Amino acid sequence: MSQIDRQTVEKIAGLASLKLSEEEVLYYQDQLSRILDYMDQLKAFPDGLPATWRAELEQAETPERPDRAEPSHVIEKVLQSAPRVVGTAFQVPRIIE
Amino acid sequence: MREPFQLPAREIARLTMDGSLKPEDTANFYARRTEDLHQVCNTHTLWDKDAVLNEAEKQIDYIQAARYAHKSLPLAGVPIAIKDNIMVEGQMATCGSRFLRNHRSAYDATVIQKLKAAGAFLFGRTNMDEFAMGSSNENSSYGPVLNPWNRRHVAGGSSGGSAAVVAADMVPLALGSDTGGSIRQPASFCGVLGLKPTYGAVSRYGLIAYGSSLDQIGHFARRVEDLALLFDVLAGPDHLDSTSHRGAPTPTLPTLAQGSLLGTKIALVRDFLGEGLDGEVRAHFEAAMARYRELGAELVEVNLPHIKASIPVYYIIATAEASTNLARFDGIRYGVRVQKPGQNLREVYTQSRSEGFGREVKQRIMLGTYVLSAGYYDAYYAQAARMRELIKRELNAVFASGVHLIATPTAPTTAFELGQKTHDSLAMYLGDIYTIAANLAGIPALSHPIGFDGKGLPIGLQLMAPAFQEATLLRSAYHYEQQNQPQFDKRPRI
Repeated sequence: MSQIDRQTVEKIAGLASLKLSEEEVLYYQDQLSRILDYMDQLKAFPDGLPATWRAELEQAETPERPDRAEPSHVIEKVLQSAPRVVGTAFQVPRIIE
Repeated sequence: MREPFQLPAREIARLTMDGSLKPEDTANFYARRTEDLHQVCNTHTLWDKDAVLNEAEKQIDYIQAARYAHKSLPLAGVPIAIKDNIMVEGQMATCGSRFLRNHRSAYDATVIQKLKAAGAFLFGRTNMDEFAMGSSNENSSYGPVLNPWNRRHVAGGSSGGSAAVVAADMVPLALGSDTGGSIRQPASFCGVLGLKPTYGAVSRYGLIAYGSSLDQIGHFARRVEDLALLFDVLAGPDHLDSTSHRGAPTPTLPTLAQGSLLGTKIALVRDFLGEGLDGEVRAHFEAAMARYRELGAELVEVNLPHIKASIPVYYIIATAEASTNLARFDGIRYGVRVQKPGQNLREVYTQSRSEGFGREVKQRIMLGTYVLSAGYYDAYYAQAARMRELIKRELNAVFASGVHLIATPTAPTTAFELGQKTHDSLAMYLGDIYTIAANLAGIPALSHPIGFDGKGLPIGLQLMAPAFQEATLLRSAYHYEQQNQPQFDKRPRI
């Protein structure tokens, strides 16, 4: 059955910025394989839509509002929840090595 | 003076406005009850009685001012519990996750502003599956909500806390959110009413996003009139939510009791009444449909050839959207930062996310990452988007043929035992079969009680209506409720 191998599990974890323990790798390999097997049944349903159909073309127009500057007064409140703060800024780890 | 216990929200508001019920008595009564009961079923992520009563005092002044000004407040003095993924300024919003255990909301969600303006009391933050991902509430970092009818059973999810607090009369109303059934399924498991409005009918500004094309804020109540009352308060356009519907909403409360079910055409989905449906649930569902027929409704059967694709379609689209929505939880902008000496930015993201997210959330992020990744996008995501469109067209075609409502059981079983499905994700996902289609198509749906199984656990029936037809949905449920009051009135003993 196992549709996805261990390397694939590790690869998608990396893409999602997650690091898995050995136990987690085995758990997710088993669960994801079973789920993806089940999802393969999608291919069996008839698809009468034209090949050119695109979901985004069906969307109603995105409404717009006037482009006006407004005070928001939330800086302090937002920074209350920031993990680390310097002055009025988020503190981040070193980006340039 | 009246006792506020078990009064409908509408009655509490009316008596508060005419002076025959003191709002402080209501606040104190329900605060005491929640204080006594919230740990019994683990319904809250945050319950602080003193803070709730302090906030209520401000609302009482506001209610008194409105009374002097002869201005009516639709929810005057009504306690309402809030799911822990909806922002209330200054309060914690953990989304059921230890990753957000320090997250304080910087602003009020639009629905919260509307509740405050309507005179309601905000009554605690309810427990939920982490990031609203789950159908049993067992994925909460705060432990599972226990079903008030039988504490060895789940309350359903992801809005399990909100369903349980209404079932246990800790509040007459509660807010939840519904991405694939997260209001309707716990409503069914806990024996209360749950409404998922049309996509865009109620603003989602201030709701922590899971699957943005599916998420909808909705609510729980014990009476159809209360479901309608709260919908009318919450519905309406909001320029802060670009997916909010621009048109003025149609009020549902004034037409609730009008007419009868005579001439209402209700469709049953043949594909849904076979394999996987519990025998007792099926029998109760059929009995309830017979009652709808006695009330004048015309029943028809329909085939929906694509409806069985709902589960794979949902778990592809919802997880794809979740994998992008949850990228913001990185330990920098949101979430608890885990940083070891010498770690660079990338390592901090990975470390924080790996320690912050729970097991199911990681699984859904990875599933979503997989179905969007190069080489798999067309087979999974693109195909699911096409199937979603076909499901939507099938449902719309049924409504276009003159059908007013589609009825299904809300869930294939009653509340299952704790731990029964925690190691089998697929088995858990399959339980969402009846509720997902309404999210995929963006149409409104509700769940109402229809009785109990042999173990004394509640059973629910789901009604779906065309987009923005909440009035039809609520009116039909109201007529059923009037003739089947005992199914709605029975309370759990806790």
